[in-house]
Amino acid sequence: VKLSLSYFSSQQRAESPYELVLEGARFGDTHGFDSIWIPERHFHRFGGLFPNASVVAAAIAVLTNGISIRAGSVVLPLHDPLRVAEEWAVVDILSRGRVGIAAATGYAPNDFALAATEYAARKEQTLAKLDTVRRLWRGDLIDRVNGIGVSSPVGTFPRPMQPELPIWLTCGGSDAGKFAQAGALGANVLTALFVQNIDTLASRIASYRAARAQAGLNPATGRVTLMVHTFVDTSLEACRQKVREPFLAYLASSVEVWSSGFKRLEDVPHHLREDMLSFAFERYFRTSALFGTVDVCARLVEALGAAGVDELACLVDFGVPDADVVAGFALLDELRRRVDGS
Amino acid sequence: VNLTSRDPVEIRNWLMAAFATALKTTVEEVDPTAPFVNFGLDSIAAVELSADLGDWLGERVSPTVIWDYPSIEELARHLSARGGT
Repeated sequence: VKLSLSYFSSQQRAESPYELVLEGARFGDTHGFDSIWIPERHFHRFGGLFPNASVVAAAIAVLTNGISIRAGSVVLPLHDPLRVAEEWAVVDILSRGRVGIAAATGYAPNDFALAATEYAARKEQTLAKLDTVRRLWRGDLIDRVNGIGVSSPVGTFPRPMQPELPIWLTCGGSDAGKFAQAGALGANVLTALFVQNIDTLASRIASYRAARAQAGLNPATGRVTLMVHTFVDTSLEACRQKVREPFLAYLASSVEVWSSGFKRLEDVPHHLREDMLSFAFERYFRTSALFGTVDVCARLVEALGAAGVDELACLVDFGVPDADVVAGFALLDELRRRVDGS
Repeated sequence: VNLTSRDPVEIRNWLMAAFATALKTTVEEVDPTAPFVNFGLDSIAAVELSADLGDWLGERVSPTVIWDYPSIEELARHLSARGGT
């Protein structure tokens, strides 16, 4: 199983807000991490450092030499595929062919302030625009209506280094059919454990690989990347202390965590909310996150590998103080050496 | 309700019935030795179940206790021992 770094919820701070992501890029690049994942987030303090993954990716491109640089994700319905193809071609050249993008549908209605008309058909739009981006990347021309109302063929520049854009489909886990869809498209999969446990994930990965085979593709070469909250420490208790508060805040603010069942946190009776958060914290701490010592984390990596996961995108910016995150990179690298190639 | 009056079998039976209800299945389908994580119980159901259990026992049961005593058998033994001391 390959280890990568991923960012999702960094908040702006007074000084050097981008240092954590740039330091992660430097560390990952010099320590054999597979890739670094940059998100797209809008109109909220959480994740507010990343309104456009390609801009941060460009900075990482010139700072690093070997690590892959990926958008996790580009919310495609919000964008014109012409712009996506243009922007990521720039980063592809700056990085000498190290980019890839995961295409997400988007769920927060406010994000669609950027493209209000796309909300209703966002699922279909994601797939349609992904297809357009892939064609533009290869050099195809597409017909668009220009400024004087005339339909005319356009193609994007610059021409990227990679002949094909490596693509992932972001599968949140609430839509079981999406894994098979990704398989049929020949895309890789980006997913997370929140709304699915390991057993469910394993069966969905099986459906993904079966769909690849059915499409005439090698089932084994499609990559399944799992985003997972990560903090490796010298002891379980030290880890629990560092992650508990920021992770609880993250849980309390995460719609996707609670929408898996029939209720949202707001619907839980007040006197049960604290218990609810404590229980959820223990659940994620023990079963769904890389939290704990190298040994404890290696066991979970092994279980995920057995479920069919190829790459773990270790989410490091969920609220542990930057200095602790950076200090923890050394143990994360120890874990990487333990599980790489397993 | 006096906790000391409950033996582990009684607690185990209560838990099996409660899990059967929460999981919309029959008591026979609930394995008292299986790890709770296998039941696929979501956080809300687990918290409501531990609140009901606390009401029945007459003392608070933290929902996180199931992580330390991860099956019905183990939890029943723990709660019964805790009540006796």
